[in-house]
Amino acid sequence: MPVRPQSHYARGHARRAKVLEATIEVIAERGIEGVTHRSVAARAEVPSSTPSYFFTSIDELIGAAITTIAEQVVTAVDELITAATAGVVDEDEFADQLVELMSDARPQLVRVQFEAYLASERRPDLQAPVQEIMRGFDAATAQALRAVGVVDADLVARQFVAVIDGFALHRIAWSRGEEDRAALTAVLRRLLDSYRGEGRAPA
Amino acid sequence: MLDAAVEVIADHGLEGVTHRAVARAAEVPLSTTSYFFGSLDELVGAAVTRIADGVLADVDSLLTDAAGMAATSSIDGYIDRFVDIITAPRARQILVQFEAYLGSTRRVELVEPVQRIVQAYESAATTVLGALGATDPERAGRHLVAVLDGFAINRLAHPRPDDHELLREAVQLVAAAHLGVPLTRAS
Repeated sequence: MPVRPQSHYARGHARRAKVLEATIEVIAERGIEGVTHRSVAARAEVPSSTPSYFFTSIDELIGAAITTIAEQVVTAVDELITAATAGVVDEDEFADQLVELMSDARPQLVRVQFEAYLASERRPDLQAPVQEIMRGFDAATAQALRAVGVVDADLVARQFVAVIDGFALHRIAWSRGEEDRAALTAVLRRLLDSYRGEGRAPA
Repeated sequence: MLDAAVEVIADHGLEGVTHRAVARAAEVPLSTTSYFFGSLDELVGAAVTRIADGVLADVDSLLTDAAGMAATSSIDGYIDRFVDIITAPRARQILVQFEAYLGSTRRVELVEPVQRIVQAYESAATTVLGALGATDPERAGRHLVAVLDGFAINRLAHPRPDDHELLREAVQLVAAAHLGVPLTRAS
């Protein structure tokens, strides 16, 4: 059977993905302010008009790039939830795996994500996509926590995400190697133990 | 001029620091910044070093306050105060601090001042938790500061009304773990 040429749509889709990937690389190397139609096009090896064909502004481009990062994490967390629900992942492994998915496995992407968090302060158009991906992380984490029996998971999830982010930020600022990871897991287990089946203390 | 550089970083990020932008913010002639700083990297490094010095000074006065508090309040109250004091700096200062943390991966001149900032906070937290009887105050201090910074970066990007309450609760849990005391619940 002859291989069908890629449809117009599929080609466009692939090109858009390439532009987003290039955007992430540019942010990792030069920070958010390094993102221009030109720098992204050069990195993606596409004509310089291509990024603006897909994205009307730089902020929209950055927003879309970090959204793809978040989607990958949320998908991976979904798989963890499935495993936890099926009893394949025990409670001790759970915190470990969540950390792996949300930060360890993707140090560069975490840095890009944080660059966007900070830049949203000075780029109002970035605020909506940044806050949306943050809510996505919270929601995925809450669902995972519910799967291991945490009551009041929505609020506990925000604590989990903040703690994971804090350790990730410190690893960027001043990595203390393996020690960091052990410390983080210890803190998360502690949080998990406090909340499992009990819910939060009323304020 | 360094204050101006810090303002430029807050407004435009590390990459926004140019001789022109800093000179304008400092209201000095364009040639002044390049007279004092051979390169932009040097200028950014000096600005972050200045923040580090400020943090060290803040932390010193924090520890003096903390010593006074220890005698008068419960462990929970004491930790609450500590958290209040350490989270008090203006959002802009924290923003610049975190820009420097992230920037240190691509700008070698930031590595040392950034570590100094983190170390200053950690040693303050270590002192406080040590005074309260933590079994491993150094580890406890590192955990505490990481938790505080995690909440801080989330709050910068997406502030929510119950942030402080959630932070306080998480800090209490982490502190309780290190102090070996049962968690006191409000219920």
